[in-house]
Amino acid sequence: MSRDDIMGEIARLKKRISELELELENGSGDLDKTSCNNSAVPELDLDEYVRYGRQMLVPEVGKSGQIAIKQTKVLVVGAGGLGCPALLYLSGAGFGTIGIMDHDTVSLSNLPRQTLYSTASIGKLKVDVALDELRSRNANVKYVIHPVAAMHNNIFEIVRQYDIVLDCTDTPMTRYLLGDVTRLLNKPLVSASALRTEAQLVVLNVGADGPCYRCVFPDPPQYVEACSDAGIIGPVVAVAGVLQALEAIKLASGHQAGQEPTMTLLSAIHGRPWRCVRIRGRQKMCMVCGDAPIVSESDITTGKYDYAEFCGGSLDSSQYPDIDSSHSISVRELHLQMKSPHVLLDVRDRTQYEICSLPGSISLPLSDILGSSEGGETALAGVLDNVKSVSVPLFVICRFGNDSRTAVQLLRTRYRLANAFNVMGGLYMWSEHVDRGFPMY
Amino acid sequence: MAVPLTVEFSGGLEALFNNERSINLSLESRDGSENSPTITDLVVYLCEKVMMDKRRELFVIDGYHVRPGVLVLINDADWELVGEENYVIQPGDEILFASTLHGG
Repeated sequence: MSRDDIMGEIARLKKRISELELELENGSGDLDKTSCNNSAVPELDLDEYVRYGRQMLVPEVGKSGQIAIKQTKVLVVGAGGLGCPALLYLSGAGFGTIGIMDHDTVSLSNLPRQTLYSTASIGKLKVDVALDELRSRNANVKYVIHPVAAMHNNIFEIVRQYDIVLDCTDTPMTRYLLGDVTRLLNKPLVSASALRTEAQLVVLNVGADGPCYRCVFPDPPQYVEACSDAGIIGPVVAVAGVLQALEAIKLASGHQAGQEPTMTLLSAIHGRPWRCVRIRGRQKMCMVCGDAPIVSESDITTGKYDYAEFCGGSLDSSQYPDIDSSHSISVRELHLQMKSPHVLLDVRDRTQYEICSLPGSISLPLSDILGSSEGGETALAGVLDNVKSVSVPLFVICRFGNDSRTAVQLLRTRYRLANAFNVMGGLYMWSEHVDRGFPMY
Repeated sequence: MAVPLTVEFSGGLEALFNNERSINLSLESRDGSENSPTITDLVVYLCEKVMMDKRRELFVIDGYHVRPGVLVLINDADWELVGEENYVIQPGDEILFASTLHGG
């Protein structure tokens, strides 16, 4: 290389360095750029005028609103059915910093509604896939990932870094924890939830008299259904997630919720599709924000206040009875026993029974046995008569082998049926160990 | 005095009421007096006359108190705003019992 060539190369590199420095300064690269710790009001880049133009044209947002959104840091806890659509629209709207918190990996059953993920994402951490997806859509935003579950000893330090929090989680324990932490740190909380054909949305911790999660729900629910059991229609939960993003945009651009707190209820199929109901304000008796609060930050971080205890631990499998091993059979044993006379009782609900069932099985949902509705009583009496008269074993099966335990215990105690047996692990294990062609869902 | 009203169930509670999501009732005070019935009168009536399912604990606890996890909305307002169990039902009221949802 001649001296001239070397000088030319140096000049080219110097020029490239200054170009990159300028890019860094203007923030058009995908590096951190919108640090809201800067007291200076951020300007919009030329490409941001184009990107956010349609939103800025709306007088309720305008340029000042857009800059306010750019100055806002929003945390999305839970990157699932609510979190995915919320994240897409938060990113699109141009929030300065978006935190994504989730410890879970992508599974096949997530894909219909968790729209940031594709088939290729299965098995990967949700936050990693979400980060790539969102960055490819809008690199102007600073994304921060938190690949952890929300726990009493990590949530304060994370929430502290943000201005608005979206609760996109799916268990009461996390909802109470997040509700308390955002109240104690005085951060607005946009909380949504969904199940089957319905969704609920509420904006909390806003205004002097605005309620917190615990004001609205002082006592933990005793019976909770999850989407994995009760089901969910994708667009129902997505609508709720999109509404959360909308509420975040409203909060960031200075459109606080109305003077009186409200809750929005969506019912996609039955009755009135939308309701906006007035709810209670801040409660004087609230444990966290009432006149005499009894739960403080240190109570939570030290674990002195126990959320598992508060929620009653009613959500794990311990609510199902233990069945003596002599009253249980494996799916392989069931397979053998099915060659002899027997009765096979499937206690899943009728919707699940219709999805798939074992040949020769009788459908009698656990809720019918427990509730003993008229129809359930007659059906159960028929089954019991049959089993008792011909003295054959009764095998009870369900999806995972939990409800069948409850049913077997009931049949053995209340109905004194000595030859009722629980099929351990249910149809899930049947599909794993006996018939790989049997569908699981 | 019998008061006509509409009762609705959602969020899964309808399963306890034979999957009826909306029922029209004409309700009298429990004590048979001329007083208009209260929400407690309604809850007792629902438990005794409407609910076929024996799992009463999925709807009420400690007698006839609506269990935690059920929102009670009276004409689109949280019952806390209008007197909770002691609210006196007015003709034409719409009362919704909705399970709170937690999925996401």
